[in-house]
This record gives sequence, structure tokens and C-alpha cells, in this order.
Amino acid sequence: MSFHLNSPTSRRDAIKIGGLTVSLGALIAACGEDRGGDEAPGRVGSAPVPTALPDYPVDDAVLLRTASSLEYTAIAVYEAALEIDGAIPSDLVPVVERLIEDHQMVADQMVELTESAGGEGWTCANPWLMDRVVAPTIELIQSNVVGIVLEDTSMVQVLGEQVTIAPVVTTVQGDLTLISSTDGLEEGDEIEFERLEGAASEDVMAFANALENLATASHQELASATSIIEARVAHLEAATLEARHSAVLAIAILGPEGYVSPAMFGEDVPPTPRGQIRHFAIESTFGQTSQIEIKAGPGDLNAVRESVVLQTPAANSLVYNELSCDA
Amino acid sequence: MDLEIVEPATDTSLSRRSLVTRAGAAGLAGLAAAFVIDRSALVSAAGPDDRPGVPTDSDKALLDQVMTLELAISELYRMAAEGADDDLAVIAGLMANNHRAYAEAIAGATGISAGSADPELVADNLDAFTGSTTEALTSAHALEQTAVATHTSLIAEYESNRAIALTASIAVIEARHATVIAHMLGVDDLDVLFGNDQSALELTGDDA
Repeated sequence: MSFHLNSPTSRRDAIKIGGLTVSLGALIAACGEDRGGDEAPGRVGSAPVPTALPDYPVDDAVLLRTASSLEYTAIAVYEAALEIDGAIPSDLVPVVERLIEDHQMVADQMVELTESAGGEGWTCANPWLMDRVVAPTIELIQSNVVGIVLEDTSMVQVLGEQVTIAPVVTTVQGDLTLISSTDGLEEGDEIEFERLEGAASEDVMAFANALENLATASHQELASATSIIEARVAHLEAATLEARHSAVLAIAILGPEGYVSPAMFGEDVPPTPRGQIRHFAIESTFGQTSQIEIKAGPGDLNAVRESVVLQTPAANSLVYNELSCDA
Repeated sequence: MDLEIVEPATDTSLSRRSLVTRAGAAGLAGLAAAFVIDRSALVSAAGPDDRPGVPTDSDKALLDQVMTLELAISELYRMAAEGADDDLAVIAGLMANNHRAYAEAIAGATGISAGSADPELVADNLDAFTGSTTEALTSAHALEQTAVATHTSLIAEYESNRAIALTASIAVIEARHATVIAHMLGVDDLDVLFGNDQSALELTGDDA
């Protein structure tokens, strides 16, 4: 068939072209499905495909196992603190021993309720909290003060001050006892000092108070989360008991000034001279379940101390039924 | 870091004042029926996703009576603060405000307008709250403990998430109130500081 640029289109040609257009349209439409592509975030390089996390159910037994894990965590911390020389003031040792008894009593109750709920009682500390919060905090509390030798190697920067290196150096926060060798010091070398007198004990008490506040807030939340009425009552009993623990510790730390937070009267709450966050027996009108922050360990070169933040149990710190104390 | 203060407690058992409080509590709203938790029945209930969010009629009936308790305690603290020296006035003023806030929170949650304080409870404790510092603190300790015990009993009865959550958030602070007051009294007995020998008020919600 010869091709003519301006040949007229016959009725038959028009029908052929129309049919072809419809067919191509259908074909394109069919091929166009799922053209959106993968909805996952784009990936660069050859990293392995992430493994989906298992979806473990959260039932009443999990909540109760988590509750007993918090009690065992508190017990572990107190027992560790009693082992650290001078960490617990001697007049407070009987109080700490009572706190251990109380936490054991609550733990036993939570284990019993777990078993009544068809779960396996959890009789050890919370592994997530121990790994992520307790162990690092205990390590911080026991760590030494570190200073950096300056260009003038007879001087050291420590706790935000530049002082002459000596067996005992005096800072605004108190006297520091040198424990490193000073032989052949060069600029930038690290030298260590013992922590300020009573500093480790102050941190231990602040941490203990924070743990009691965490336990209080956790049981307060769990009282609402459980579907077992007996557990609801038990959680509230535990929350009020541990609120009392916290109040006694706050008063032990601050004395009568620890009764009520100045914030309740619209005033500022300055930290202690050593930078510790003050916590009080009564800090709010209603029980709070927000995060609890304290400082732990010595200040760094600029006297800045590390924060430790405690939060009520969430997906990463729940003790799922699939977990075991032996694992 | 000393748990003791200079002035020793005159009555760390708090038993006499406890009896006064119990007598006052027994008259609260003229409620006679015993509030008894049948442990065998406390097996299961709806979880938070299945419970009503806002207080049910049953919750409202109980919370209405709790509100009169909170208002009574607030009123007593307010009267104690008026005649107290600086330290007690500050603490009593704060606690009056806290208990007032609990009553207002209950009113907000239930939609029931905040009524008046239970007159019998106020009358039964007025002399103590306006008496010596020791008498006021002893009576306050007993009332705080009674409030904690009452909330702890009632939390088993509530059907809604709001009633349960609000009750828990109130009880933990009232426990702290009690511990602070005990310390102010010079109590160093850990059984008193950490424990609670007060009974829950007998509330039924029948006449609310």
C-alpha cells in the first residue's frame, strides 16, 4: 500500500485506529498497576534487609512480670549499694534493709498474681533496666574524677577549674585527692582524683529515690493498665507504699527542706551545690508518670555531670512472656 | 541525713486520733452498708481498651462521696492554716489546696458540681485541727491515711478508665502527705512511715 501524506482517512481506517487506541490504552492501564513502588524508606548501599521485630503480645501476665522485675531491680540496686563502702550512710542502713524487705514483699505478691493470671512469675531484675540504666549508673557513681593536664604541665583542668597539680587539690566543690602518678606528665594526659567526700553516697541516695519514684509511677500506670481487679488494687497498694519510700528518702537527703518542692509554690528549684537535681517528698498535686532525671558520677572537665533518665516501662522494657530469667 | 527531728513524737501510734477519725469517717454521708471486697470475685474485668473512658453512673455515685471527703479534709487544713505558725501554715495551706484540687478534679471528671464538705467529718476533727500543732498533725495524718485506704478500696469498684487513673494519681500523693506529716511529728517508726493501719471509709454510693 502506497503512503500518501494527505490521503483521506476512510471510515474503515478510522475504526481500525480507534480499536487499536482502545487496546493500547487497556494494555498500558494493566501494566501501570503498582507503579507506586516499594513504600519502605529508600535504601542506599548493600546493607542487609532489616529483620522485622517479633510482635509479642502484652497481656496481664506481662504487666505483672514487669512489675515484679522492677521490684527485683530495686532490690538489686540496694544490695549493690550496701556492698559499696560508705555508699549508704550508717544511720540509713536499717531503712534500706526495710526497703529491701518491702520490695521483696511486693515482688512476691506480683509473682503470685502473675501465676494466677496464667503466666510464669518473674523473679529477677528487669534486664533492660539493668543493662541500660542500673549498670551504667552504678559505674558512673563509682568512677573517679578525671582531669586533663594543661600546656603548663604543673596545672590540670578538673571540674571546670584550672588548678596546680598536688596530692590534694582544692576546688570550689571541695578537696580532691590525686590518685594517678604524676611522673612524666605531658599536655593532654588524663590524671584521676578520688570523688569528693560524700559524693558517691549522695548519688546513691539520689538514685535510690529516683528508683522509688519510678516504681511509684510504674505501679500507678499499671493500676490503670491491668484488667485484673485484684492486680489493680495490688498495684495501687504498691504505688502508695513506694511513694512513702520515696518521701522518706527525700527527707533523709534534704532534711525538712525535702518535704515540699519549691515548685509547688511557684519558686525555682536550684540544683545542689554539686549539681544534683533535688527531688522532694511532695513534688506535684497529682501523681506524675513523667520521666525522672538525676545526675550521676563526677563532673567532667567543665564540671558538667551526666544525666540519668528513668522512664516507666514501655515496649522495650516490658518483661514479655517469651523472656526468661535464665536467658 | 537524720530521720529524727528534735521534738519527739508524743504518740507515734496515732491510735487515739485514729479512733476520732474513724468515728468521723463512719458518719460520712450517713453511709451504713459495709464496703467489702470479695476477693473471690476479683478475677477479671474489662481491660483499659474495653472500659468506658468517662465515669459511669456507678462511678459517679462513689466519686460524689469521695468529693465530700476531699472537701472536708481541705476545709480542715484551711482552718488549721489560719491559726498556725509559719511552717505548719505553709504545709497545711499546700495540703488544703491539694485536697481542693482533688475535689475539683472529681467534679471535672464526673460533671457533678463540687458540693460541700462532709459536715460531720469536719465537726468531728475540727477541735484537733485547730488545737495544738501535735494534735493537728496527728489528726491530719490519720485523715490522710484514711483517704489512702478509701481510694485503695474504691479503685476495685470503679468501671471507667478516668475514675481509676484519677484515683491512683490522688492516692500516691496523699500517701506522701501522710509520710511528711508523720515526719513532722517526729515519727521514726518505719511501720508508721511506710504503713497504713487506717480503715477505708464505708462508701456504697447508694444515696448519691
